[in-house]
Amino acid sequence: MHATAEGIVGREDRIPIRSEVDIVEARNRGRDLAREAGFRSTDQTLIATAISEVTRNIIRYAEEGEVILRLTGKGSRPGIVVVAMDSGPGIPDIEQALEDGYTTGRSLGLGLPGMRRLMDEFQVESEVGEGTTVTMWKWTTR
Amino acid sequence: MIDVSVLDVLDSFATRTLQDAAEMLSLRGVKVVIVGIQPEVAFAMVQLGLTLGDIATALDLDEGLALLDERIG
Repeated sequence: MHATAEGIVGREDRIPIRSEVDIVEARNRGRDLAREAGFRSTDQTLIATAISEVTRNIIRYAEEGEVILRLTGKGSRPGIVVVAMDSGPGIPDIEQALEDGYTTGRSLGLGLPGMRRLMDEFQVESEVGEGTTVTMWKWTTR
Repeated sequence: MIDVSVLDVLDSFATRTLQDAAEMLSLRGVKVVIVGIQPEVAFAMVQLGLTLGDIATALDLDEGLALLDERIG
């Protein structure tokens, strides 16, 4: 069953991110919402993985934050938008953070560029000392 | 043998944890094989840029056992 873009726009899920458990909760809810939008199973996994990465970053760098999952549409294509917000330290150099292999944490340095590859559209807004908002979109394919 | 077939997501943190576990076991002389990475999980890992380096992998438990048989001889 494929939902029409018009019919599902506006559905929204807000998940506070404070611990490991919330990461799993967020990616499960993301997978559910992606299924509802009509994403095939492979794309559901890509979306769940992107949510896992972005929420992991919240815990690692900001300790806590929030994820908003929302159904959206682009023309006749239903899609999903993931907004991950925190009030953490912020990213001093976004350009650099978007380069492959760059990391400040003890990770594999795949953070933002990796997430970007999993999704269709990607946006990072960050202010040092204020926090970071990552917004990612993915659209269903026919 | 580490069976990850129940995992529906392997992000960079989970992969790092697996790598660390495999590395520690290798240092203790253990032959490690990771089995059961689901096809969609493998696809997402490649998109994300994740690899398991030189850690041995196999399709499932049977294939993993066969591989270990070969290696241990």
